[in-house]
Amino acid sequence: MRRAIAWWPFLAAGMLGVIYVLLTGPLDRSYLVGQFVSAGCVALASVGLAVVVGGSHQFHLGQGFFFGLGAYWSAIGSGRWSWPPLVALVSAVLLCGVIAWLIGRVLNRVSGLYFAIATLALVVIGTNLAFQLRSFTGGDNGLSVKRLNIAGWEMNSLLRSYVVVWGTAIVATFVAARYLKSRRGRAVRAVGGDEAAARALGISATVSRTQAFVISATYAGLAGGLLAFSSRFLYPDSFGLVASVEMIVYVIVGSTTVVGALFATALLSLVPVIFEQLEGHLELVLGVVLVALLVLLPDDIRLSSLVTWRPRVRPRVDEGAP
Amino acid sequence: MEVLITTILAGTLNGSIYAMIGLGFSLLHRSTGLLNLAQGELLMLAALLFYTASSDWGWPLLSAGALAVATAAAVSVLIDLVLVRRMRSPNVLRIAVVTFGVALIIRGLAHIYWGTNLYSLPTFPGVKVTYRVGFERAVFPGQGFYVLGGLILVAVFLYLLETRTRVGWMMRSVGADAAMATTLGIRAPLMILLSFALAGALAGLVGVLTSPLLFMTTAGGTLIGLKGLVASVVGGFDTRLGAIPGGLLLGLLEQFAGVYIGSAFQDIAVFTLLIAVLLYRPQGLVGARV
Repeated sequence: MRRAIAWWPFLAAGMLGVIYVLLTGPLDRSYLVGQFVSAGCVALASVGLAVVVGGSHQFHLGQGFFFGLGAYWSAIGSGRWSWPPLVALVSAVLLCGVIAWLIGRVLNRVSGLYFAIATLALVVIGTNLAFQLRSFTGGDNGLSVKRLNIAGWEMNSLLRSYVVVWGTAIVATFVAARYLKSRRGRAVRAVGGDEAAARALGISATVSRTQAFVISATYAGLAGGLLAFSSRFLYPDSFGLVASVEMIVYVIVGSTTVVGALFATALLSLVPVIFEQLEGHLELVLGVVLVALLVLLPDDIRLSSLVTWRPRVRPRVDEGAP
Repeated sequence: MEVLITTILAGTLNGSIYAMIGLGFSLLHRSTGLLNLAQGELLMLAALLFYTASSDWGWPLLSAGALAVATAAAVSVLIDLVLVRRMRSPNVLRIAVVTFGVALIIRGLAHIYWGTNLYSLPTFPGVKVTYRVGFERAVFPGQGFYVLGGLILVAVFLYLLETRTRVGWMMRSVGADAAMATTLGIRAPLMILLSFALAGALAGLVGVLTSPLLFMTTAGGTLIGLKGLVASVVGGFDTRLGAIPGGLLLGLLEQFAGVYIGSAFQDIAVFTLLIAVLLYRPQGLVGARV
């Protein structure tokens, strides 16, 4: 039994339209729209992260690594090696997938706290490389990026970046949601729910986990590439520990579902944009939100358990996930 | 030769700093099973408070140090009382992420008070600023003796605490099996509180002892705290004093990688070692096979 049409892409598109009008409306706040375009890239990476955190239930603190890898690869490919931007972007996504596959196969041998620590180490290594490989990344001088140019169409205005980034994010979220409902995706969720039971049913935990890890990394790679082409300036700190934790916060606020991650990023990243006094205190805001949510919410972290309105609660017996 | 000796000395000194931080992680993990990712921020808080108390308010070093250590311990206790204990559904991972949130909060608040400046104090009295070691260019900072002395004292204290005192046995038994310990009449919450206090005080002590060596900023606690965690995991997360060989190995590896491969690779070498140990010897260098 399948739903005819998913409701949320329309809600997301409508919400983004309203936000765009609000941000550009009476005052011209192009800086804020720029911020919100970057937030769209973070949203895309968070959606990927939700596949791992919500699907295979692993605490992945290393999404910033793939985010940065995608960004720097796209920037270096299109700038230094003068590839067509689209080729640079696609190759960045593929590279993230391959590297995640190589790393994931090894990393999935550890679990729980140790997986979190190991992925955290990955981020620290990545930020360091970005700072130190100056000839490629520009180190702490930053790196400027060319415009995204696809067969003559140039992403040369804020509105175009806004549409491309958030459009990609919505489509990618839709794909991720379909994936988690597919046969392979159900296997991933089964492994996350109860590894022993899943293995008893003949599901390979290693294969499922690695698959989720690779998918999340390609999302981060795509997001990084889009960030490079829309912000057109890269700095290593944007892909460090704080960025990784920021995404974890969005995923948790979004009740560890992919759709939730999209909405949570859209809403939460508006907070520092609108309340300009909070602008310099992103860390503090993140810390408070993270601590409050994790301490106060019950185990099944769902924001919807706090409000009375539930979109639809319908018992479904025919889906295979245990 | 000078380079070699300088490298070994610097590696040993940094290694003992990491070892001392790592002992805090191990202490907490052994007696509660938890990971407190805010240890580095407690260190930073203590170091900056120590600086402010001794140079801005003019307090004597000893009382400023006591204030800094006590504050770090108090914040650590607050983490337990206000957050960890009240979680609706506690588990080790969620608590680790909560402590990361606390780390962000401490950083954010410290940033409001201390800004982005670098803070460093002069060397403590009683030692020279630097000592020449045999050759012209090989030098060792005098403050290093305070750090090494601190490490030895802390190690002896922790060893005696766990092997010779009743409180230490009770803390250890809560870490091994909290339900069983409670059945036997041990007040587990009190022991966990004590572990948090000790681990916080230890982080504070490192912050105070290293304040003449490190140029501390409000963001500077994170990386050094993480390296302490690496020292603890490499040595053996569940061992009493494994963080000491772990930290020394880490410090030496870091310095040798910096000198012989390139300063770019110091941190990369450290965290690569962590991943390698996690994969091939998760119990740590010293730990017994599980």
